[in-house]
Amino acid sequence: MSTRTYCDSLLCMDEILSFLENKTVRILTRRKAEKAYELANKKPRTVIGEIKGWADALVFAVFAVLLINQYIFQLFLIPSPSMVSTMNVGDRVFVSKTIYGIEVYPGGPKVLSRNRQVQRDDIITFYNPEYDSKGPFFDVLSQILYMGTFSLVNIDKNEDGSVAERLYVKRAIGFPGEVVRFRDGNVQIRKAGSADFIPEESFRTDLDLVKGPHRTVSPSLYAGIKAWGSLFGYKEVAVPAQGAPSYLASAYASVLDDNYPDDMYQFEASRARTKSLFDPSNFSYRSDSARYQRGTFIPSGRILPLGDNRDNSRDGRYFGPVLQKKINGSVRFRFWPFRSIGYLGNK
Amino acid sequence: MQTRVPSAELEHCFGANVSHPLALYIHIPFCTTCCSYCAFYSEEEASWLPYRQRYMERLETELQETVSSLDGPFSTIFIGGGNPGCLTYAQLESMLTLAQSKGTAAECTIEMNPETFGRSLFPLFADRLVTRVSMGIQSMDDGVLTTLGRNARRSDNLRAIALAKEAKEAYGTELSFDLMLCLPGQTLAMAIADIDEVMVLASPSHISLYCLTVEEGTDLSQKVSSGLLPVLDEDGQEAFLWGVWDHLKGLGFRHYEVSNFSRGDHLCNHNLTYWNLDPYIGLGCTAVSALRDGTSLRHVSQIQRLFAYSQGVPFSGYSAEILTPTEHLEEFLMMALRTDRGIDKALFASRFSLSFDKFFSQVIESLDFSWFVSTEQIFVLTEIGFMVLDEIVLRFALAVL
Repeated sequence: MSTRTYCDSLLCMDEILSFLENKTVRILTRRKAEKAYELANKKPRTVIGEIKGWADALVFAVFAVLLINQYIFQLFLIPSPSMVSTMNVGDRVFVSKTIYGIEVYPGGPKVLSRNRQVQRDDIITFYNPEYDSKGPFFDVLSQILYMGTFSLVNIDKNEDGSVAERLYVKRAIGFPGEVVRFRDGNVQIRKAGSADFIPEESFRTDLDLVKGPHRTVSPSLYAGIKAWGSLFGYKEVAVPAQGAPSYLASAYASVLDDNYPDDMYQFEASRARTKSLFDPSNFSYRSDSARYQRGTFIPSGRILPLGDNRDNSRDGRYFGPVLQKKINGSVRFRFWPFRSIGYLGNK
Repeated sequence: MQTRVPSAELEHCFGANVSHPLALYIHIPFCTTCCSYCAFYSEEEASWLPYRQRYMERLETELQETVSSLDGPFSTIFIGGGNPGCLTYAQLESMLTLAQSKGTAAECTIEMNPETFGRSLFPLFADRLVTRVSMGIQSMDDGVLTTLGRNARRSDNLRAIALAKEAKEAYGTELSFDLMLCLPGQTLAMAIADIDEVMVLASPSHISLYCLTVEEGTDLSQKVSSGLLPVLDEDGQEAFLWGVWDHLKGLGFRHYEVSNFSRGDHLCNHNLTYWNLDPYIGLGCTAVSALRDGTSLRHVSQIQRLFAYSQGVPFSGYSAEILTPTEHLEEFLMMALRTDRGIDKALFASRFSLSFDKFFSQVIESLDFSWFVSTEQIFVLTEIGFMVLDEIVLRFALAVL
């Protein structure tokens, strides 16, 4: 009886051991078996299959680039000379898209922006308020192409073939409560809570700001530009040129060779002033003129952007202060050209 | 134009014997925009701009006559606001020169908002017309600053702190930064980071900490009562305060008054004047003067409205109130208990002809042992006592009644 039980248990032990052995072998060779199975059942490579594979990878890559561009950072090609001396045309820069919160979709609302205000002197990117939209589909498509090709392809062109500037890059100059005005092309700032306008240079030295902005138009040209604007105003209110004072004609002679005024803003200011002087009862003339004389007040929640290349910049003086909500990024770093690589943010 | 007898008017307003030493407070009620938590009197820019010149003219006339009736310089001067940065440099300079025409004050503090603090003020520091700058930093976080409705942004604060440090190094100007605590959206870690940041950037010798109190009628109170902004309850505030107080002590600050901290002996001497009930003259609208004739205390206050002040004849519109002995005693307790010097029992006896220990024996017995230290000479609250200051003052006040 006892021998029998002993044999049974031996047999039993044998079964357990062989079971364990089989199991171990199967686990260790599972991957190899799977591969062998795959090999045996693999479909032949086809051209269509290959294309599908590549298209899949490409779509994924573009999608990833879009996500990064929209939510984290964007590589940006400086298209215009409005920031020249700080950034030149053709420079490639790194724009942080998280610094003022995250824009949900291009042109859409921002989230997580409460603790991230635009700071004085930041170089900001925002949607051009004067942009002539060709419809939302085209807008998004051109943005996708632009971002997807690392800013190499831009199908968004103006009628004359120049690149339409969807995004503007400017410096944040005017802040809520301040008034900014232009005198002979020079910026004057009235600080919030102050009664007096001070020249921008003094303002910047006082607050220890970088010497970013600069002028190119010679002060000696201003007499001519103003006369040009005035004479244009005379023409518009239908006063014959010989009726204008002679000093205007002689001042105008100094800029006679120019095709267009070097300082369009001053030209417009003089033009508006002349027109309102001729017809003070015309409220449209008056409000135009007052706008130039009094300068731009920056309401709360808005920022006045100006280009560093003051005399060659389409900026806040024309389209006014922009909503801080619409400011979607800040230029932090230039990575091309290689010799001027470096940090561009606020110190 | 009315003819006036200057000294008589001065006497009419401030009493016959203005005792020495005398401190001076000047109120500049101009602000760019009103902060959402602020219940102090100030006017926003659009309304005050036309009156600024007139305001300063009247202020200077009054200051001129006050100065000429003095034998020596003011002990301390404090220019508060509002934001004195809303004045032009010329206005500030002429006011400060006039105030110190009988000699330089030992301490002359000017309050300044970060966004108006610039290099153009440095000549004031160089000439020692201003020896101390008290800057309302409040917070280094943009989100919190927005909630507070401050004009300054983080970059303004950073720039102002850097410039203040420069002034400190070049002219020895003392720095004090105001920071606010228990704000909606602010955590203890953020408050401590704010302190660390200002310490690293400018190492001020004085810090004032203010807990947010939601005052009625402010923008903030509307948002809080409508549930838009969460506010800490009392336990939360207590934990918050302990965290910050301990951190400042770790940095070597002395907690010399409930909400003021100093390194070494860089106390704000002007504020000590208030807490000791020493005499001071306040000029500018809503400014209050406190003058002691013998043992009685007179509060002299001025017109409430900027426009009335600007257009009135100098020294018009003052109203004086002589505090009753009870009120005087309450005032003394309320002020003295705020400081880490506490109540000087001998001084108390000489001012009120009362023995502090005897008169308040029941109150003192009712207090927890951890709240105060009482020796033969002084009665002073501990930090735990500071935390329940209102309760303690209330018990003392009830005993006086």
